[in-house]
Order: sequence, then C-alpha cells, then structure tokens
Amino acid sequence: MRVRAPCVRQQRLRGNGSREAPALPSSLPGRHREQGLISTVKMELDIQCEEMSPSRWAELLTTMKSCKTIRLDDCNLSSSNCEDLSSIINTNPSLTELKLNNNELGDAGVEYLCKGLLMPSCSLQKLWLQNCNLTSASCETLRSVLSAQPSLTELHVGDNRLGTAGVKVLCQGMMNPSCKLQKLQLEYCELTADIVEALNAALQSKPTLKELSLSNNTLGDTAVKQLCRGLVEASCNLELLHLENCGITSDSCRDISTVLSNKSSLMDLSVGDNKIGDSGLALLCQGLMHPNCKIQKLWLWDCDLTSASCKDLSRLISTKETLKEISLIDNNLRDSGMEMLCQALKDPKSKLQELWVRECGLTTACCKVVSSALSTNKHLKVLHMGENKLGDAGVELLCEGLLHPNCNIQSLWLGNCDLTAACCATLATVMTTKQCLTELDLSYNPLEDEGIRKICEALRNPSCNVQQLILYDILWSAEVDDELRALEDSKPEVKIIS
Amino acid sequence: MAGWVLCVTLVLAALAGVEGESRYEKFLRQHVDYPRTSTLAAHRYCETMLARRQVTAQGRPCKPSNTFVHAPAQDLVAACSREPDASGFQSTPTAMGITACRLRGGDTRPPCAYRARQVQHHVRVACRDGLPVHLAGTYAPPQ
Repeated sequence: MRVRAPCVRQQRLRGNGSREAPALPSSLPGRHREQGLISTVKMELDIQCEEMSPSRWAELLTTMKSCKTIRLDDCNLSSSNCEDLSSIINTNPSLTELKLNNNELGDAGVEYLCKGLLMPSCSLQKLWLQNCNLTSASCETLRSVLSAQPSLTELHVGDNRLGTAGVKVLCQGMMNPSCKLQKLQLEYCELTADIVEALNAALQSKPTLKELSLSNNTLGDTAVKQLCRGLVEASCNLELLHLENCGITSDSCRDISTVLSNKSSLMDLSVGDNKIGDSGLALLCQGLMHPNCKIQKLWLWDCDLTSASCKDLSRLISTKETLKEISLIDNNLRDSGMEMLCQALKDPKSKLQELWVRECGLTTACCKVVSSALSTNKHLKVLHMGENKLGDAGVELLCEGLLHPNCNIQSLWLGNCDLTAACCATLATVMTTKQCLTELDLSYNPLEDEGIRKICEALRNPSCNVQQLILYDILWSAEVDDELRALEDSKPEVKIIS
Repeated sequence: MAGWVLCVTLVLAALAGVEGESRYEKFLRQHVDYPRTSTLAAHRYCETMLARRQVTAQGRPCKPSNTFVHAPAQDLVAACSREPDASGFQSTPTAMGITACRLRGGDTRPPCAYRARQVQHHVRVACRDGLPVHLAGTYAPPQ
C-alpha cells in the first residue's frame, strides 16, 4: 500500500518583486484554499509539495499561461495534468523553464508534454523531469524534442529508470545538429558501462555541452576510462563533470587526470563517493597541478583519503590559484592531515574560499594550527568543521583566529562538535565583533538554555551581522523557544533555523 | 482504524503549520513517519520525506542528519513515562523501525541528497509535560 505522506510546505507566487506569500497547506482532501492571484506578466510559479484539487489546478492553469518559469515539485501530478501542461507550453511563448520533479507523470505524461514541446512556438530552455517514473519508453519522445528544439539547453532526467537502452536513444537526439544542449543530468538512471560509446559519440558532436552529470550509475573503471578518452577528444568545452558513486577506483585516476590537464574549461569536478584512496588522489593531482588545469570546485568527499593525501592536497591549495572550493568531507584526514592543509592556507598564493572538512576525524589538537591559519588567511569565506570532536577548548582556540582582523570568514559550521554552553561566550564575542560573519551553524551541540541565551544576546546586538543561525536538534526549554521566536520577530533579517 | 485516526491526527498536527506549532508537533513533523511512507524510488525516501516535512526547503541549508521513527506517536509518548537516564533522556522499551538519513557529502545548499539507513533501534527522547519534544538519538538493542 502506498501511503502519501501529508505535506507541510510553502507555496510562493512571485511577481518581479519576489515577494513571498506564505500559504496554508491544503492537502486534506476536500479542503482547498483560495489564493488571490497576482496578475503580472513575467511571473515565476513555484510550488512544492501540494496536492491539487481540480479547482486549484484550474486556477493555476490560468496563472501559468503567462509564467516565465514554472516549478511544480512533488504535487501529485499525473499524466492527465500533462495534457493541460502541454497546451500551456503550446500557448505560452514566454515559458523558458519547466520543473516537474517528483511527480509520477510516467511515460504517458511525457508523451503529452512533448506534444507541446515539439511545437515551433515553444521556446523552452530548461526541462526538469527528475523522479517522474519515466522509463526507456520516454526516450524516443525526448529524442525528438532534443532534435527539434534548439532552444532547449538543459535537460535533467535523473532518478528515472531510463537504462542504457533509453539513454542511447537520447544520445541519438543529441547528435542532431539542431540540438544545442548545454547541460545534461543523468544521475541514478540505471546506466551501465555500455552507455559510454553512445555518450562519447554524442559528446563529439556537441561542442555546446558544458555540464554532464552521471553520478550514481554503476559505470566502473573501464567505462570511466573510455569516457575520459572521449572527453579529451571531443571539441566540447566541458565545464562541469560529476561522477559521484560511479564505481571509480584509483585505476581510473590517470585518465581523469588527463582530462584535467587537457580541458582548461573544466572548472567543476566531483568524484565523491568513489574509493579512489590516497593512490588515486596522487594520480589526480598530476592533472590538477598541470598549468592547463583551471579547476575551481573540487569534490573529494568520502573518497577513502587519509592524512597521506594531505601533502598533495596542500600543494594544490597553495599553488592552484583558481581553486575556490574543496570538499574533503568524510575522509579520515585526522589532525596531522589538517595541519598540513592549514600550512597551505597560510600561503599567500592560496585563494581558497571554501573548505569543507566535516567528519574528517579532527580533534581539539588541530585547532591551534587552524586558528593560526585563520589569522593569516584573508580569502577563506566558508569553513565547515562539523562532526569533528573539537570540543569547547578547540572552539575557544578557533575563535582566537576568527577574531583576528585578517580573518574574513562569512560562514562557519560547527555542528555536532561536542560543544557546550562553556564556549558560547567566546562565540558570542565573535558574532558581535566580526561583521563579516553572516552564517553560523551550531546544530546538535548540547548548548542548553545557558548557551542558547548567550547566543541570543549576541544576535540582539546591533553590531552582529549574523543572518542565518542554524540550530538543528538542540534541546532547549519552552522559555528559550519563545525567546528565539521573539528574537526573529524583532530582527526580521535574522533566520533561526531548527 | 486506529492507524487511520492516527494518520489524520498526524496530518492535522502537521497542518497546524510551521508557524505556531508546538514542540511536540514539531517533533512529530521532523521525526515520526508511521506507517512508513513508501516512495516510488526507494533511494529517495529521505529527500522526499525531508522536503514534505519542510525540514529541507529552498533557502534553507540541508540538515546534515535526521531520523524518522516508524512507530505510532503514542509509543513515543509512552516512553515519557519511563525512568529517565543519567542525561535526563528516556528510551523506548522496545526497538522500533527507524530510518537514519545522512547528508551525502556534497553540499549544505539545496538540492539536498541523502543516504538512508534502516535499522531496528531503541529511541531516546527528551520529554516535557509528558510529551516527546526532542530526539536525543537511537541505539541498537543490547546483545
């Protein structure tokens, strides 16, 4: 028996002024809420998690006729809604973006949608159909859309059981010279190694392609190596490549390295959730360090890396001036590894802005070096250190570095770090001293009423610029709960998230 | 029948809306899913539930972890009448089905991607006025 979870969600109907109109949920059968419509041209319709009654749907259809972007996520839409959507697509020439993720549209639904999409009047640019219960049967229709609509630049069809056979058909559509696709997202599509030949052929023909995501498909090393060879040959200027959880090991890393040293266009690479290990990372670094490589964003989360990788990573951080963001989440780097990374952060050549070392086996012991790095480094804006046993003592040390005038940290994440009320006074000082700090996460720490009250006091201070305070799963009293609500009311620019 | 009544109760509790909901209602919203919602794509249980329960949303950072308990709310309320432990938390007498959702290492910016782990665990809660208001963790039944 399929049980549909009741929804609690927001609905926003935004005009150009981006004014939000929070609505009461209306998912009880037989009960729906009349919404006053904002009649402006160039509207954005954005609805998440709402079950549509027939009258509600009719209401929305009228709105949609003049919308530029439509997002109906998890709204229990089915193929019958797609018939209506098809005529909207047909009669609304200003529609550029259609997002229908998480609705069981099925192949029949897509069939209807594509009727509208194939019309010459349609100038849709972005189409999102993630988790819409599509199978390979949808791919023939999607292929014709790809071949016929040069306006379509983005196709997101992840979380659908398209399979290798289905995506082969999509690739045929991409081969058509009319196809000007720039972004293709095929996560969790049950693809296998066999898809690479067709993908490579499509890539060869598509210099417009900028972004490719194949995460969560069991491709394996042989296929990934073949893909890399195809990428190097292709004239496309790929900017983003996501291969998370693709069954990659160190075996593929030499070939990925070759892509890195050949494609200066590649700015965003993710190989997270692949067991590449320290040996794989060493190979990747050859490509990453190459002067041709202009990598900006590098995700290496849960890659089985240890402190042994940190020597190479440090060299990367202190030499590659294009590198802005690196994720090393869930790798056992430990204090010794972190210390090496911090040395790199002290190098004036390092331009790193975001460092994510959540759950890296760090303890209080590394905090002194981190503090030292924070008092030297002016570029780092975002630091994720959650899920490490830093403790109050560790955070006290971090705060010394944070308070240094050189430090420009905007966003600091210390969730689940074994913090108590004891470190909150110092954190409060940081909040009221560092105007650059706009986001702070203290989730899962047993701060208790005493700690939360100190944080609240800091928030109330006019010299505190924190706009987002994240406090997930912390136990506090009803009185403190009221205090937090009152604080949000009195300072509307502040969001307290729990 | 009782299950349906409970479902409606949960729906009503959820529909009180995020604005002005009690801490118990928030606990139910964030942590109780009974009977366990079956999602079209099994691997998307966490993404689907967290979005529907407004834990994740546009403009909100992804919550790094969240546990859903697949037991009737009354079973968790019953835990509140048990003897508290040294930390002041109370545990359910029996293990119950839970899904532990953990953020996959990418981003705290939406879209949020999760890993789901289903186990039978005892659930530890903090109670106020006889109602659970905080999930303090879960643990495997002692062997």
